[in-house]
Amino acid sequence: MDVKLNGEFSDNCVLIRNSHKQYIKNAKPLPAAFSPDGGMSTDWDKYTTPEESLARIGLTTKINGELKNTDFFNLFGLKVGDIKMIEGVNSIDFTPIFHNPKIYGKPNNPSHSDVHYVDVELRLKFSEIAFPINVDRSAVSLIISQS
Amino acid sequence: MSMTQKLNSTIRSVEDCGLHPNYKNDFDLNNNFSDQTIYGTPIDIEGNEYQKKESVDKFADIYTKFDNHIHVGSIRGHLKGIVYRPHSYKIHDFWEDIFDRQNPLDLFNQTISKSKYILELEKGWDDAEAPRIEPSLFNTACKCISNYIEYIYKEKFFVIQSPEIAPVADGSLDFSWQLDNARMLINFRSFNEEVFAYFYGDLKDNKIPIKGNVPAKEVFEHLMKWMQYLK
Repeated sequence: MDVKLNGEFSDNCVLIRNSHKQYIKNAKPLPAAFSPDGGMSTDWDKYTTPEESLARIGLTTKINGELKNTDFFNLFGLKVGDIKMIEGVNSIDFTPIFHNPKIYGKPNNPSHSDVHYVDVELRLKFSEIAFPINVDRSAVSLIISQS
Repeated sequence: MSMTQKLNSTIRSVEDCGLHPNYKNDFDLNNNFSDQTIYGTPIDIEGNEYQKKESVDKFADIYTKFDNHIHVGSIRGHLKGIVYRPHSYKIHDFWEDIFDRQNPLDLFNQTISKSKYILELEKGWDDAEAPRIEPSLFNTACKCISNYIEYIYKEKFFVIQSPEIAPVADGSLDFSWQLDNARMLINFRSFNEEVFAYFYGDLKDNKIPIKGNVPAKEVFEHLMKWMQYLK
């Protein structure tokens, strides 16, 4: 049950995971919301607010080149202490993303962190420890407009 | 309405009936199911259409006999018959009359119907790069879960809860149960044109965990046994 921590994550740290509406039923995230792509991308709350996190979604382009609509996304939190209790999680890595110069549609993310695990079926457990995070969506719009 | 009242009501509604010869199930017709001394009329399983057999005047006779049999569920097929009326007839399921039982797949079929939107999702449906869900994967996965539901019904005579069906960003398909006493995730994905089911499940407090993968085209007993917790 030893989870390798590449970053100074305390058990009370929260990793913010965005979830598309396709993965939400009855206001709860389905296991599919925690599917890894290499690692499971999250934002470490030490370096971001929920509003900044959601705003980055709105500054990211879809495959058709349009910016994503933040109305289609909700945020959920995962406590590091809870993640560490899940057998099969290998590591939590702090992996901030910086592009210089900035790339349109791929915003820099100083809080980006990956959760690595092998058995994708374990995302069932992530869906149960995740809790909803309230977001001030007007603040999100403001951040996007100022970027 | 009591069982007896319901039974009597059913008997009155039957003008004449014949046993249903073609109901598909897996019981052995060579044993005492076709024994006239126990279950009445012999059954012609070779017939291609419903055929009227000897009439059964007292449906209660059948009820009494199957009620005494240990494998109550498997005889259900014998309780389908044809009700003849003037100028018409119809297939009648006496079992449902008596027990208000439904097809074990009724609930899951409703879930499938609600989930067919998945087949209409286009590439990028998650506002990222998710591929579309292949209809063959969807169909194979639904058929697989249907098989497990049916096997459990045949063995234990109850219907497990219906899962949530969700597309996954990698093009696979999730079937998940998150119940008070048990939870399970079965993820279906294709390798070399064959669909596999990757599963994880456990009971409350992580008890009796099960993990592994199996081909989706067969029913595996160990998985089927565990899924009985999803009642």
